[in-house]
Amino acid sequence: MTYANRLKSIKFNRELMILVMPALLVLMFTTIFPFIYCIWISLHNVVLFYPVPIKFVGLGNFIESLFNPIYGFWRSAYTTLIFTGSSLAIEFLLGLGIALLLNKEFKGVWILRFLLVIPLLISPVSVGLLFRLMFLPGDWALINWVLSSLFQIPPINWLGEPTLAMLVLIITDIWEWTPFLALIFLAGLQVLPPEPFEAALIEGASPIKIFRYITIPMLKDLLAIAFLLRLMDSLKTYDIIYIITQGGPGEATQTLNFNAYVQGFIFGNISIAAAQMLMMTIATILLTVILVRLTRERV
Amino acid sequence: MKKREAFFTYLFAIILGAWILIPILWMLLISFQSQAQIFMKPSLEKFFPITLENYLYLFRGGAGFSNAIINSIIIAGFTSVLATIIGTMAAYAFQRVPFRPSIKNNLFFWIVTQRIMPFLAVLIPYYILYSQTGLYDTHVGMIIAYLTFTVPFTVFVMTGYLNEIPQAIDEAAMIDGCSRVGVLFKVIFPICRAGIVVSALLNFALCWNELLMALILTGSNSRTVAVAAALFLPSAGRGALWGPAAAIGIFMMIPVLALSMIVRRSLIRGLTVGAIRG
Repeated sequence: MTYANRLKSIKFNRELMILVMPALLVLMFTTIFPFIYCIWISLHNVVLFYPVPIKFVGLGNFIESLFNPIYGFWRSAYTTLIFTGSSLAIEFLLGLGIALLLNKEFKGVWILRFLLVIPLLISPVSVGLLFRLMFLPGDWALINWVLSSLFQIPPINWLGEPTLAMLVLIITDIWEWTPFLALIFLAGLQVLPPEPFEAALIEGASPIKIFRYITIPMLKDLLAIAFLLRLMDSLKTYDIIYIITQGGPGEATQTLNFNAYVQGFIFGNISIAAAQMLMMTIATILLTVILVRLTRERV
Repeated sequence: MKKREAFFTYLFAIILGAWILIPILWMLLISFQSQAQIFMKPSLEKFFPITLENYLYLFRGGAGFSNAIINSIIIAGFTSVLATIIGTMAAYAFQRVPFRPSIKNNLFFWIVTQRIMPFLAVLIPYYILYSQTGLYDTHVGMIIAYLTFTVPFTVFVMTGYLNEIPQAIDEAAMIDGCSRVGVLFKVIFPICRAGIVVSALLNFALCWNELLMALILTGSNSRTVAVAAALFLPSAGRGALWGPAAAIGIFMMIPVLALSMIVRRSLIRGLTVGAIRG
């Protein structure tokens, strides 16, 4: 390499550094530094709203969160498990079904593909409002009215019963996120090579067998990525809970995320909230690593 | 056999369409009803004289809504422009530079960890820092906070678009004496206009829709529409003001849906491209 060339390559890299720099600065200031500060807060006793001398408490906040039921860690972890588990399972099944349906060519399929984008784009605040308005307790609200006119069921107080409130949240989450999965799976289906399917059809395989033994294995990586993305977002769900139930009735629909918000910004136990969020982050990372390992091994 | 398949296809298609549209139509209906009409059982009087009073209620200073709209537009607009420029520059550099694969994987890891990390884990430090530095309840503070997720998102979307532009184009421009930065602004930006527009629109939508950060980091000064809506709800529940509540819900959808109509085709691609490549 001549001297001129080497000089050029250095310049080349400096220019690229100029391009990456702003993004790296943003990353430093908006993510890495706050995250380290969050760890610092979780190791001290910071309290909002009234002054307390700040001192180092070590892992005290983590231990308090884990063993003191006042801070609601395990209760909200259980709520999260139910919310995330059931909504994700149903969303995946429905998403796959819808993707298979839309993968066919029929008149008007573009209308459906367009409709599917709507829940993805509209604000979670609006989504929450949509379902809050449908499930209001009065006999005039849509769901109660349909139930009473079709099956003579008296008006149900949907958001006043712990189980029913959770059910409404799960339905809302399904409405909001199934289209996302359906569109991802649809895009995945459309880039699959047609040969294996043609071969299977010639061999006379049934549609169910084709789906089970050809479609699913070919989409496996996509399924794993979609699952991870949804898992991470689902654990962070906040808006629809705030709009529909505010965590109630009582504490019945407080997920980990929502519970930490209440602990930190309503009760002021900001260090406890930080500790709980860190534990949730670590648990999510562990889950992600395990899932990635599992999918890699099966290849 | 063929006929039966078609029948089921259309049956499911109609169910799916209804499932998506019914909640929206129900809210639209409530937003155009007077307080008395809302509580009626379906009849002619329930649907007929349509009223705009719920929308007027919002803009006549109910819940400081007009201010919130201006705040939202300022914050989402500035964030979107900044994040799109910063994110596209970074995506281009990461995509074109012969970085070692370990660094490229780190980029992906950064984006993934961004999604893993709950907003609250950065919001708690933000809240404390902002109240100490005076950034609390300012537009600048909100724009900085929103860069947290819009920049990685832009990198994610734009990497997919930049993958499709051949390197030969850059090299040709550089032989003609263009610098790297020049190539990006004069050659690459015009070519992937569609991608840039989509990521700018999605960034705008993300900021317009965001609730949790705005709820914690804004007060009366820089309150966004989402926060105004969320704070209006408890009083709406007490006074059964479901009409204005529905109007807020519809109003929040309009800008995002209007934007999405404009770029329908590229949008679906923008939303899913990252996931497939990833």
